[in-house]
Amino acid sequence: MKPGQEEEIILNSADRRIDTMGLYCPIPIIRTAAVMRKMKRGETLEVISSDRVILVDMPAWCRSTGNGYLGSRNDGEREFHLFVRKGLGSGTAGEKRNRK
Amino acid sequence: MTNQNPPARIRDRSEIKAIGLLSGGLDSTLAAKLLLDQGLTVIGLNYSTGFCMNNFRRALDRPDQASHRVRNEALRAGSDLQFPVEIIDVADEYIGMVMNPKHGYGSRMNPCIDCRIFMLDKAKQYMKEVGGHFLFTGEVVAQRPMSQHRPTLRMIEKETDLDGLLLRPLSAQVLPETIPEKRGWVDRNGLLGIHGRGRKVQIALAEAYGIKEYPQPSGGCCHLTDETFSRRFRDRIAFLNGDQIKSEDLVLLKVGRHFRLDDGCKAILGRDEVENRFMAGFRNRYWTLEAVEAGSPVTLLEGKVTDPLVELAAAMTARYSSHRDREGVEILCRHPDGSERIVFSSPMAEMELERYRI
Ligand code: SF4
Repeated sequence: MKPGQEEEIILNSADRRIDTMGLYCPIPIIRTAAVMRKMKRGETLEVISSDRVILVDMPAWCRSTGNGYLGSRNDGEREFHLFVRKGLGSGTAGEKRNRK
Repeated sequence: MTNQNPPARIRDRSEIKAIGLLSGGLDSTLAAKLLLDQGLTVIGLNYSTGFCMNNFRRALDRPDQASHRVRNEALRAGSDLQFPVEIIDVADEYIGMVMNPKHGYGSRMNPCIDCRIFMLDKAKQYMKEVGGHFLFTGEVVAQRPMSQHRPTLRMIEKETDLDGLLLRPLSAQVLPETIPEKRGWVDRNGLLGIHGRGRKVQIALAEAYGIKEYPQPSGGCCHLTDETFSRRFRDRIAFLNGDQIKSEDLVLLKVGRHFRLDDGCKAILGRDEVENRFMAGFRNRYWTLEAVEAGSPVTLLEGKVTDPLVELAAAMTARYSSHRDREGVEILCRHPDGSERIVFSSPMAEMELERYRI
């Protein structure tokens, strides 16, 4: 596999997908966190959002919580597809609940 | 359960879990940094109340609004300092507190003391769930008029039943010793004794720590401290039972010009293209009015709509349209079910308009 090829594949197909179009900040990030809690390490999630600032918030959320930010693509002016990979996780309440 | 019994000898402070209220402003960022530097495990909690100005600015999405100016600052802090931040939506519950705050309001509709109690209660619950050891905030003694005076800080601690388990790292040295300090979970010498409204120490510390990207403490981040919003909010409460107000209804208090048409109905007129676009998104829930073939506000009618009220709102819409100098203006009135009709309306006179303005 050539460098970058894996990311390219992921940007077209993720293990799970959530559509948060039309939802205001911070709901898309809250939904992302909730779905990621249920996923296994290494799995990928596609988040669709109409909030352009999520392109700043999502990488920050990933860095803060120990998940991987894989990138984004635009479908039109107001439709952003962001890709994240479940990492070690943050040890937050949701994570703990999920482990039970 | 709250973890108040960590190992007798702490070999590694990372075993101690500190849970903090994190706005992402400089003070809460520095408070987290002080604890991270002592090797503790830190989790930041950012509660979304529905009254955050930043979130609303994002929803409006003005094209000239730079993304970094409206980003979530708590996430930025967590990302810069590498600790997890959890955003928690409390909007529906929060509004119940705002309607009926035990300790009253500040100069506007801001119930700052109850707000702190609400968030600390939530954080305490969270701390129990994750086996945290104590809570911390970025509060500075005597920095703010209402909620940060020493007796108030003490009272908040008592009411939340957090006696001794609430650390304020920026002011710890001028406050009584807390359990985390007494038990050696935190080294009191590594905490600060900041007091009062000045910001010099915090700014110097930010520089020393290389924290560059923090929002300026303008105070303009909570709609409840905003005069216009508070006036509209009071009006909303006066004409609608408090328990009927949902957090999503509040969104419209933040946008447009507001006019009360009668006890059961008000009109909201968009002030520019961005607001019009935003308000048009509510078309399927409210009556909307617009001048035909003219520059026009999008007008929303909220509440119980009657024919005379549609005509009143049409006159207002005509007044704010680009055809305001004409004798009559065609106004397209659209029912939420999609049916439409045209009303021919004279633009309302300025004096009359003022009678209705909220
Ligand atoms: S300004 Fe708003 S968010 Fe801040 S304490 Fe007061 S009510 Fe709460």
